[in-house]
Amino acid sequence: MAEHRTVAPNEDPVCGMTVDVADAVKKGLAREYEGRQYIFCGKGCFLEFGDDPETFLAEGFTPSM
Amino acid sequence: MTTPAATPLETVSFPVEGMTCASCVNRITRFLTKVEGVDEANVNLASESATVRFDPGQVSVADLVAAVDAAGYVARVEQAASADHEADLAEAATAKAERDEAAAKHAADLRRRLTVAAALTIPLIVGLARMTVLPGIPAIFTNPWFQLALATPVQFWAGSLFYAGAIKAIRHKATDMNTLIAVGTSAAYAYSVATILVPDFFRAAGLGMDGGALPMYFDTSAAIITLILLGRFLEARARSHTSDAIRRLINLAPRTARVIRDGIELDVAVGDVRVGDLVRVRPGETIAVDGVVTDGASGVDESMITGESLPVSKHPDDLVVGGTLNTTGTLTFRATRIGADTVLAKIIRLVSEAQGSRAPIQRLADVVTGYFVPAVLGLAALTFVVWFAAGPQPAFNMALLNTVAVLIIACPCALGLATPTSIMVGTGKGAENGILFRNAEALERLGAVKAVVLDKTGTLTEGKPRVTDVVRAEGALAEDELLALVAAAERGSEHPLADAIVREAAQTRQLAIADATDFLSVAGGGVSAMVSGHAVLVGRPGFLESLGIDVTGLVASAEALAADGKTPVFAAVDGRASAVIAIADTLKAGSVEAVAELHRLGIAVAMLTGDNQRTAEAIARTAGIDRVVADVRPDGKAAAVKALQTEGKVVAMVGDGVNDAPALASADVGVAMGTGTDVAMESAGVTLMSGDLRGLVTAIALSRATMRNIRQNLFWAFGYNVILIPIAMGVLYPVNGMLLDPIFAAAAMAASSVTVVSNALRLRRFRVRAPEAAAAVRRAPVVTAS
Repeated sequence: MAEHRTVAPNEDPVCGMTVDVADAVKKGLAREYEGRQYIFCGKGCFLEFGDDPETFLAEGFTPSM
Repeated sequence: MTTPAATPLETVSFPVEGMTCASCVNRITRFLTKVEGVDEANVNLASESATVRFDPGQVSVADLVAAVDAAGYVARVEQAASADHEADLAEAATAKAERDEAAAKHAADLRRRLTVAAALTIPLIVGLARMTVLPGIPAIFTNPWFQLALATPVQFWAGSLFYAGAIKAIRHKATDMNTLIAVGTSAAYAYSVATILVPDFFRAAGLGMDGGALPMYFDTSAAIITLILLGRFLEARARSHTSDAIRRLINLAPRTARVIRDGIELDVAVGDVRVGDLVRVRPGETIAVDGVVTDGASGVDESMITGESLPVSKHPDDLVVGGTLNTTGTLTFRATRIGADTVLAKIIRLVSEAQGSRAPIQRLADVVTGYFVPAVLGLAALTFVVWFAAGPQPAFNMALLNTVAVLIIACPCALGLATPTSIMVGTGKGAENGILFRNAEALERLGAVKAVVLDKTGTLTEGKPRVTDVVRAEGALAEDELLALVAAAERGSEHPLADAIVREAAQTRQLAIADATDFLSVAGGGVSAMVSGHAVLVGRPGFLESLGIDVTGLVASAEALAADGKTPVFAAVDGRASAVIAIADTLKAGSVEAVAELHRLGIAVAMLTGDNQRTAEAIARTAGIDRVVADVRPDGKAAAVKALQTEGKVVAMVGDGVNDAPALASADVGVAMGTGTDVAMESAGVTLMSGDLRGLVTAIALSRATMRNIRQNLFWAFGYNVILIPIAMGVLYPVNGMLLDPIFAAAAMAASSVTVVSNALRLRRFRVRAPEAAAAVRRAPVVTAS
């Protein structure tokens, strides 16, 4: 398994926004990946992450956009 | 580049539902551009729409919908409104037509009554002149039967609406101004009739003892009714006058449009234009419906919609709005919104709703009227009792005369006019300047605003990153040459920063961009490609270093740029670090000026953004904003507005995005940018059609001018009444024998109505302050898109 960068529990790993965890889970904007939950600001990030989680968890990746 | 298409490319724009952040935009763009035959796809988060240029020979609109669907979103290509929505609109249109018709009928009826009443009243006034200053006039004018014949139709036909109003009020156990007029004029009329029918009663009471005629007040009752009818007629005319603003808007839309179907140009009624039709507009013609330009170039005068006086240049892919005027060139555009969906239809709806709405200050006026009328009736009764019991002879005559005077002077007619006329003129004036007030409350509140909260992206800034600086390393290629290489490498990338570089090179600088080969993209790092024999690397410093390039010479420049809130991108050519390219969102022209103007008006300005503190402060500094709330989550904007409200300030929130909607709704006044989303406009009380922040300054000035105008009106309406009531009651009589003749009371009251209406119409002269020299385009660099 590749090294993963640190992602806060309430951070969207794709765009870096801070998200209300309970709200995101309620809306189905949460995913389990390798034993941990990630939450997302919206559908776009949710689907992007699903397509290729490793890109967003790679050590050098900085969510800027 | 793609090979030249066999068929000409077409462009289509459609709404996309469900986007929340830039990732959604990237995803949909990627899915759309992947479709074979799509040349270019632009997805806009703020307007929730996608614009796609495609080859109709290879791909259909249905394929585009399928691509958006595959990405996980909903594309609504059939922009046609739902049946329910259309029924609602039809109903609203019918109701408005009925209302307009009723208003026109009302005005015509008043005019008829006024004409007849005035014609009959003039001989009565001549009689009054014979009795007083011109005794040479024929005696017929003072003949009691002649006067009765003139005064009766005035009293019971022209004045019947006052009786009807008074009876209606009594049924509701209430009194209003109709009660006052009915009672006052009836007293004067009945008194006069009684002098004809039972003269002995009056003589017995000591009147006409010196052989003269008995005093009659037909002239008074008729003149009062005529003057009040004049006031109401002026009001009705003022109403239709102010809704001229709406009529002008409706008249903006042309009746026909030149549509190209099957290669043939034909003129069709605007109602027959369908979404997707190609429409041709020649120089000097008005654009019929909303659409996207497919061919041609021209300047379009959009001042009627945005208030912006300079024509806006239009090229393929630009949006055009129905009702705007094409100036010099010929344009062909594809219709995207028709009928009730057009921007113009939306504006008309907003303005007509606002003009019919009531300001909070109007409710106050109504409450006061409710107390005022019974109080006046009480004072009139008191006047009668005191004069009859303690006044000089003839006590009954004097008591009646002064009672009538009190009833008439107190009529709060003008009070009823004070607020609505100003509101109508104010909202109409706003619409002329591209400022839409959703209702009178928004118009009233905006002037009281003490703090303005500005959303950063799309409100203060263009919301689109641009290249602001290119810092070259020692011995690197010339700037344009370098930029062309970088742009060539970046053209394959979907990153918004790459897009900014490509736009700068291709559009702004018009550089020739070669095709890149061996393109490689590293997510979160950068791109590498071969361009015209050069190895080009673009990306983060870490990415370049990982490929063995020494970037130390550029780090200092990069840090300086970052400190200004810009995003530095590193570029290397043939293994040598060559330049740092800074990319930032830029301030809109006018933002700096608008912030300075707001400060001058004594309004605190704060900025909300999801950017980090350092970046946010850099923009705020450039814009002249003193207060920054950074790191705001999309759902945290409303909370930030509420925090300011708890400081006791009246807060206006200005924004344009879907995510601004909750904050717009929770602010005291929400102000939406007309260039933004419909959701934002529907949550806001005020919409600035031009998307220019300077419009906010104008809106605040207009709001303040309108409220000042209303206060003046209330003063004049109350002022005349309150000052004259004691005089009408006769409090000065024991001092200097001064009394108020009912006819002067009526004249004074009519004067207050006229004063109020003409004061409101004075608002029509409200001028937008001429833009200062500072209006010169200022593109202060700011920050990356959030």
